[in-house]
Amino acid sequence: MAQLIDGLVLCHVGDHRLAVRAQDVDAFEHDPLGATYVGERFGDDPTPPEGVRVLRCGAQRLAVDRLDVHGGVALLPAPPLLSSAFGGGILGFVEVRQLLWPVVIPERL
Amino acid sequence: MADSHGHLVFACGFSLYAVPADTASEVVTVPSLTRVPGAPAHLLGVFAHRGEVLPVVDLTRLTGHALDADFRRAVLVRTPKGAVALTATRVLGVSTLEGTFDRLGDTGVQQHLRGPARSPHGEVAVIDTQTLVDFLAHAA
Repeated sequence: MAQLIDGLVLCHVGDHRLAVRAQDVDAFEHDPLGATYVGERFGDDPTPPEGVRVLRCGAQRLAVDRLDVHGGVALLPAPPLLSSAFGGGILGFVEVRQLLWPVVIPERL
Repeated sequence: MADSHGHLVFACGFSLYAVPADTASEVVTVPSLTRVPGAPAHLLGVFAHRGEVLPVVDLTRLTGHALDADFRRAVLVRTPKGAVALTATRVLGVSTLEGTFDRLGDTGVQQHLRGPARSPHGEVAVIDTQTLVDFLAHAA
């Protein structure tokens, strides 16, 4: 049976997207100073553009272009080929608005 | 030497590849892909297919002959260690192969390619799907 995720933060980063569980986010902030721009993880320019939002997740601060909060959704398992990638940092994927989003553990991003 | 099992032969870029027909579950049309953060260049992304998330691997990048192409088709290969969609520019059908099935190299992806084997369509590199999936998992 598919695992359900109660709340998700959907993040838009350039042409890319990813999601984190709401339970993994401590706060939303505006100041990108010292934050990691997630676009860098997709090979984009590491410099965040103007107006980013920052997710504070424990010691990790992640800057993204835009975010939305979404309700419960089923987690699709990551392909075995990706299950050990990034230290197991990909929890799985969710389908929201007919798009697939990788759900990541922020500390391992 | 002839191979008694059928292989699905397909082209990707300028090369021909073959996978054992019993591991090729279908040929899929690749929709818009979701990129995975931190993924190597050969992992183009993932897509949902009948409730399953499938990774798409660009064979041209994996073998060091990158083409700036928009791959719309892929051969879906299933192994006990997972499924992967391998990019294809043309699918040529199931054939019996002749020739040798030795490793084409000792390093990188070449360890998982065997040959030189001949198909009715030309010389092919036979993909050892079991070990390739292991290799890709470690490269991800």
